[in-house]
Amino acid sequence: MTSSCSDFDFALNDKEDPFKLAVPLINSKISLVKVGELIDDGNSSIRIGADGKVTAVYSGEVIRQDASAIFPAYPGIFPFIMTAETTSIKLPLTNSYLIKNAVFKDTKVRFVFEHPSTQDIKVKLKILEVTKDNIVFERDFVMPYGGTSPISFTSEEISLDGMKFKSNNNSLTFVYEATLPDGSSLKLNKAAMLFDFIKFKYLDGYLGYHVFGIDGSAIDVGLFNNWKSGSFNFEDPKIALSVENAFGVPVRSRINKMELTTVTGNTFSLQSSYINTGIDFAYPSFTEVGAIKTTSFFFDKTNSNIQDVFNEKTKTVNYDIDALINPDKDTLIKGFITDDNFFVVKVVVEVPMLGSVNNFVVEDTFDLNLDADVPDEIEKVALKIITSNDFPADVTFEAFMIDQDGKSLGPLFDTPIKLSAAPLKADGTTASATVENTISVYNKAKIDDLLRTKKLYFRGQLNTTDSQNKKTLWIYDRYSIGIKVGAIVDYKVK
Amino acid sequence: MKKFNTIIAFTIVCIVMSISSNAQDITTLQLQGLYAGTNLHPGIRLDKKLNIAIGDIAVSLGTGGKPFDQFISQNSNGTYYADRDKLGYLTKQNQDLFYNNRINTVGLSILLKDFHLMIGHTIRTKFDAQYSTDLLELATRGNAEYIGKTLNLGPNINLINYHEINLGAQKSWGGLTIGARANILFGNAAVYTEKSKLDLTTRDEYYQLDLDTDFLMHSSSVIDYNSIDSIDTNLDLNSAKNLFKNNSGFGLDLGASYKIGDKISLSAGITDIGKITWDTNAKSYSSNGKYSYEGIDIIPLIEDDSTKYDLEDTLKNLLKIKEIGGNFSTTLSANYILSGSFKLSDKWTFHGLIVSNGGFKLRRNQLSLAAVRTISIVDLGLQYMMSDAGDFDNLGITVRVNAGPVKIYGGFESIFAVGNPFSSNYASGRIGLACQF
Repeated sequence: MTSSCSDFDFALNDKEDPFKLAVPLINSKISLVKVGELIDDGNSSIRIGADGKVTAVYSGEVIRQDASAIFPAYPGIFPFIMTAETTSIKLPLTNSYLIKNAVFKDTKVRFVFEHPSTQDIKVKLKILEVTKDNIVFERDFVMPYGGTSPISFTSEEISLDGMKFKSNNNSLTFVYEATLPDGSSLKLNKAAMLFDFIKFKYLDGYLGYHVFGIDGSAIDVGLFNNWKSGSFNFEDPKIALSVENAFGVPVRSRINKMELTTVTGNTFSLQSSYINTGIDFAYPSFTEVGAIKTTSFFFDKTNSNIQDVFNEKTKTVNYDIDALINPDKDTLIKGFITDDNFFVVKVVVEVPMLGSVNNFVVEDTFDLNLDADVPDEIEKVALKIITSNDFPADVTFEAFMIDQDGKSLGPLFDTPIKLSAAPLKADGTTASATVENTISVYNKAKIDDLLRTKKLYFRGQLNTTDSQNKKTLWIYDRYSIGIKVGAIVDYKVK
Repeated sequence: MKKFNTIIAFTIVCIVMSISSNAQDITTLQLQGLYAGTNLHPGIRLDKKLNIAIGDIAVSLGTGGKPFDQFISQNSNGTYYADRDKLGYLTKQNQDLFYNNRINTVGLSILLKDFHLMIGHTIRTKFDAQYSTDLLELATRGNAEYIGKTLNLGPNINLINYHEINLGAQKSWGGLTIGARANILFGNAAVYTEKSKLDLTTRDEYYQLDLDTDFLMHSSSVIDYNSIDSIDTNLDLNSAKNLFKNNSGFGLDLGASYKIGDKISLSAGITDIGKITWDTNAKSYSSNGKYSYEGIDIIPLIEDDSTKYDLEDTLKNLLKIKEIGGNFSTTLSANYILSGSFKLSDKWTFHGLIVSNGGFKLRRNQLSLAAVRTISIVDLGLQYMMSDAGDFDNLGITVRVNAGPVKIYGGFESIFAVGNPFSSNYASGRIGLACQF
């Protein structure tokens, strides 16, 4: 029993005698809701209905037009010049506008007078179409004689904010009265109103005919990305045109182009009578100033050929749409806008997950750089892969390792990973998940191959239940795929 | 693996730091009359008026079961290793180790009137440990061979190292001698495993790991636990830094002997009654609960690729150990002694001893027989010991030289263990010097 530390060398294992460590590695479950969260990039997302049915949503660019597009601020490049004591000046609008009522905002004016008098001059000025609290705009000015003739006078800035403009002919009528100290009247050599901008926070009348282009946008439908082969039968794909309109004027769509391009590069035009006639969108009435009217229109299988075209594996939807303001150019139609009004158009592709998929094969290649410090003592790893599948679809996938020279290093798994379809209940939903076990062994050479792998070539196949008969099935949010991985590691002390 | 290594290394260091002997072995019985003889129990009759013991050193150690070579092999590099192919020979679920030493640095008895008054100083170490066969299996094979099974891994490690200030007295009435010794104790280091449940189950689905623990280990100046892979141990045994200051305790030894004529003497005693309260650098480490590891959820890693994951750290953190602190007490674990001696002639004396040696979780019961031949000033003894641990092959020798008032003695209780330590499950030895006037 005697021994000393110096000559006693103890090890738990003989170096030639590896031991086996069993550890759980992965325990994950991913539902469609989580998939939706992962893929939600603002353009692609998943919408869950109240009954749990899933719809894939692909959104295009949101087009917005503000009130300034209809009535931009009018710059005061040229002053309004009063040529006589009473002068009517037309607002410099296009003929199509007829502003009946308006309320000024952020508008400031100054008045300039000039006369070769050697006495002080009093000026009383009115603008007949501008009122506040039903009182006509009126201001009194004094042009002081300072020993220099002619007298030039520029008033302080006067704000017109909140003052109303009311006219039947887009005109402003300036009336001034200039008098000397003895009461005698005179005509000014120069009288004008200067301003930086004329802006309104509200105006009504006939606001003109406008065309807003909503063109050039493309919606990327990722549903068929990496498609290799196989067919689809989505039951009710849709393109939704959604308009939020606060302008109190008629708006109509004019669809110049609505094309769907498939993953194989073919382009199909969407056919629908509504493309020819346009779609009228709701707008608020004079009693609904400030309200936003929403119009949703769907191109679906009842009014277009979208189902046939979409199931050709649509990759992108390109559209060119004009929004027409006062489309009939009827000047008798009175409308309104406020300065915070807007007009928003959204085009969305909606794919309810109802349908069938037959022999859908996808392929893709991923970059892989396993920056893993695998101990040299590991001789072998045997993975036990347990998959569970709630979906009514058989899924099989395999992966191949590729080195930096593009050379295949062999399959990642000993056998393809299979997820069998969950059994269906009478109502078309699935009962319990189907569980499958797969063993994949990685010896030293294969571990080295995996560490050398720079790309993974992935190939998967999917068949929904009874897809050969195009049996349509809904996908529900509660469906998920689970994966559990455990490893037995052969560890040999070096 | 580091955890296992730490445990094993700790155990081995405790064992190999010196040879051992059991304080209550039959060698002591052969020292009747000397101060060292009272180390068996204080009722062992003292001779002469003045006895001085200088450096009575006794140590013992053993496995409490199978010898090491029953499950340890040596490879070509000379390294010993736990041999998985031999583990099947281990029939007990828990394997035992023990180590005791008693270093009586100095002892003095003096006869005043009818009383032998005794005073001395002793350093004691008691160590025992239980490690499960499951722990060896796990360390040598890994858990993959035990999928679907539960391994009981909790080590039970106990150690106390302390100083005794011995104050005793002995009085005889005819053939009857009664002795008592009070021991004032000052602890130096302790480890005490109060609860040792640590069950590991590897589920068969995909090897999920379940730990079921009810573990409580106390330490004074030995263990500093930081994490499962950072356990500092300090085995500064026999230090006198706490002498007369900390970790105080009290012990009591009682004994009686009876002499029938000149040839026969019988004795009985009980020693090491008492306890020590540990208050220096006292720490307690506890783990109580059920913990599982079922793998990582890779979804958050997909969501945030900056998230890092370390399997090794995760597994290390599976065992939740918290330091709860506080003083603790350890009992000394009493020893029970019965002995008999028969002096056949001036040349031959025979001794018999039954001892129940106390340990923390291990009690070892021994029966020893010895024959001593006196040749001039030398006593040569041959002795045999068997224990309830299943060892029946302990043959020992003793030598005692009586050079007038000076006595020198020594012996081994298991000569087969000398030079062949792993094939024996028990060994003990003693050496000492005494003077008698």
